[in-house]
Amino acid sequence: MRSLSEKSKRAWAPPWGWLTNACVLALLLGCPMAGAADALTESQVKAAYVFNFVKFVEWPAGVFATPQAPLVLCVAAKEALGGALAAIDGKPAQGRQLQVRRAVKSDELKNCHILFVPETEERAVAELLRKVGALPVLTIGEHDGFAAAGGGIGFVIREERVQFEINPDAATRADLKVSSRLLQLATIVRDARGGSR
Amino acid sequence: MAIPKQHALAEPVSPTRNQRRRRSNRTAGGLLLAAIVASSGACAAPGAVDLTALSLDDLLNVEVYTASKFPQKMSEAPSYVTVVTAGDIKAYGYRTLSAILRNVPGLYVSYDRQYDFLGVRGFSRPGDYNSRVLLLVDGNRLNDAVYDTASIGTEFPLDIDLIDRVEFVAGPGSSVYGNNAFFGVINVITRSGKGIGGVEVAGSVASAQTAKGRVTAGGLLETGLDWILSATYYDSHGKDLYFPAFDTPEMNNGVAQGLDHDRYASVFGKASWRGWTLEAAWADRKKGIPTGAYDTLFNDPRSNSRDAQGWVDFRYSGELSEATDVLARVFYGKYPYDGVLPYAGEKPGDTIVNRDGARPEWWGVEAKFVSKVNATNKLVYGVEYVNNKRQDVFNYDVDPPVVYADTHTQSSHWGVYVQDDVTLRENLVLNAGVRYDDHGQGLSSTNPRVALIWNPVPAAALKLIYGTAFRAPNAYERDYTAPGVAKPNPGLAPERIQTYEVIYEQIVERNLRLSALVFRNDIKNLIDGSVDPADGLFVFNNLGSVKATGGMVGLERNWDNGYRARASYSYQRAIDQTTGLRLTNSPENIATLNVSTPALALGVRAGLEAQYVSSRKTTLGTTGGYTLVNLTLRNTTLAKNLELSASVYNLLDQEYGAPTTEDLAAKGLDTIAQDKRTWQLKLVYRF
Repeated sequence: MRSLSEKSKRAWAPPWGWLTNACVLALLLGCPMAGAADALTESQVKAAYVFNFVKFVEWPAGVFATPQAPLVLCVAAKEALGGALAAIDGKPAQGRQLQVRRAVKSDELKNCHILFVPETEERAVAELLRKVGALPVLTIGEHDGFAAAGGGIGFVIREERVQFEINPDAATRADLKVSSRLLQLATIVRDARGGSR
Repeated sequence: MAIPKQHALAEPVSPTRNQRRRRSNRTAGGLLLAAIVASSGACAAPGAVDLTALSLDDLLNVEVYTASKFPQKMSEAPSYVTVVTAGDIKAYGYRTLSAILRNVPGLYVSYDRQYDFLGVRGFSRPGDYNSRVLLLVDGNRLNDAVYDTASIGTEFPLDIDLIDRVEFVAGPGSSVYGNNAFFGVINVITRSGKGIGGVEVAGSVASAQTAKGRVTAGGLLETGLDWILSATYYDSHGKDLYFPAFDTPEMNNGVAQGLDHDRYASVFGKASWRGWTLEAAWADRKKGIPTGAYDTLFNDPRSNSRDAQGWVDFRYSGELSEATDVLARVFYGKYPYDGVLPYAGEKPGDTIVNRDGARPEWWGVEAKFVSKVNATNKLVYGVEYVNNKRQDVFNYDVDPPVVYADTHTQSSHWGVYVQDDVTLRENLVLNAGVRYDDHGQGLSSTNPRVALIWNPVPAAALKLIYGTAFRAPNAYERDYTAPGVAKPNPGLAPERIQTYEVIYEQIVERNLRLSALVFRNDIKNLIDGSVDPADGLFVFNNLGSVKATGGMVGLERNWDNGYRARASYSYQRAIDQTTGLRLTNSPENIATLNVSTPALALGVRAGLEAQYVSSRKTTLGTTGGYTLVNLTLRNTTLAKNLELSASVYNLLDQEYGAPTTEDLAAKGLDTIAQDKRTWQLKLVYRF
């Protein structure tokens, strides 16, 4: 059964044949293009954010044993962000070297300056945050409601963009100074009451 | 006076919208697509980019693939839910709600060149206006107060670009939502002003001389007020359509000239502040009728239908206490419909213009509470009242003036429901709920749903579900009166469905999601129109019953390098219990495939989707299966804030048809041809 008439005098008929073939070819051969910011994956964007956060947070004096001591980013899992953290491992930040330590146990947190909680560890969030307590550790989490649950910075996805929430209560607890520039770009959330939901 | 024989209302087999009634191949593409999926996984992750060189401002603007991971804990929803996001809408170039729903597992759509019809689990009656699916926008019910219409085509009143996500909840939803939540609930959630963050201008051109423009402004003010305002204009000239069934010299050799035109304007606004939201929408669509539907004169340039609809919704959502959340709303909606239907007059060459229409208008209030009673019980309960203040239906000839129908009725209904989410053990949840609805005139319905959800491991869930749902007879079916032609039936009972369902879902290795389900639907009391032999009057009765069984398997995979793919296969067998035969417009097999890529060469992202639908029975015979492939290429890097996309729909240029209503079939139009290859170019600019 066919009814769309080819008789339409004003029909627009571009030569789609070759174009669609080209498209299929592009699909088959194509691989993600490196370089452009828009070609980044969510994981890479988050890793880049983590690196940026370091520049806008001030740790209390005394948490670094020496001026050369590295800034330690602990990851609460064997791997996180699909390996994207490797791209910032060893990079200079705040005049120190950023060092990524993976599979950090909850009793080793006092050696961390940043604790990254990947979304695979959702079930461990409460326990980890409890262990962090008032330690001068910037906690960064991936799952929904991380900041409201008492975490420092939580990633959220809005309109296909990675955004972040900051919980100033958590920063105060950890004795961290978060720059106003960072706060400006974040959604501010406070500790949730009672955790009723 | 005698009604002309060929008049719609005189001929029950060829009713107008006000008298529509029941009528009762290839998968090679799949292999190619599977190859694409396989090859995409082999691509190396882009590693060359220096992540330390990106500023916060850069990062805030990078568009990413949002569903690249799945939550570790499986959803405890007592149903199978499919979510289509704004990202998917862009990736696959969706233009209508119908296009969005088409690739939801187990769904299929057909277009009669006036309205789009949704098929769910093997059930789709041509001409039923989707009354057995509940359509919500931000929780506000859109099904109108006369026909229960759930608009999903170009008459859907919201611009697709304003959608944040669409959730399709399959299965009976009456235990929470009441009327119309029969086969499922379509829940459309609109974007926030914050997400717009300025001004967005979109323009597109497409085949059949189609152009569309949209301007949207929105933002989040310092005061916490989130606002959005948007206006859209769409105009499609349409192609001339050829209908072999009407290929006679008297009917312009079967060509409907310039009658596929489609034009709409819509506006939408929303303001939210501290849990308070005021939302309003209005849309007005005029569509030509190229098919000679309702037995109108074929190729008469005056044939058209106009569907306008809108709503105002004022709601509050917030915490009542530490343990209880509340959602309360007051809403108003209307849906004026007007058909201009030309018929042959008594004398040769004479024509009569018939006006067919309805003026549904309603308002209501609703309150819903979610209460965490203790560590193991979460209660959801609520109450809803709806007043259908106007349910006018009319049909008259303009000249000479003859009124055939002029029905004015009013009605109201209310419902109350409670649902408890009981954590029996750490990995076992019982979700049980029931809703009572009173539709007046001695018509009530009680609908339970019980679901047992077991997590053998946190990343897997087995759900056993039993539920019922109903659809109350609508004003058109119950009250429509046309002296000498049609009579009301105040004794109509609600349609009923009982569903048994087993769902299994599992997340494998964080980025692979598997799902499988089997279902059984027992449907009774289906409301059908027919002629009462006693008096020759058209009347609706509870006639049909249907048993449908089937299953679905689905697979969804997201690669860390940005590739995403999902595929599904569903089987359904819907049998008319009266005849023992398969339903019309009910495909046995449906398969879907969606693949989207990150930026490839030149920053172009691709979105490819395919749907296979097997052959369907029609009123007179069968119509063949088809494979529909759509491809969208998109670029967001050419210029800052500019997004370009090009789509080709029905890439394979497949010819396929959709089964029609009995009246059209009786005239030889057993199927209506669906669009062959079409295209669209679109540009979005953000200020």
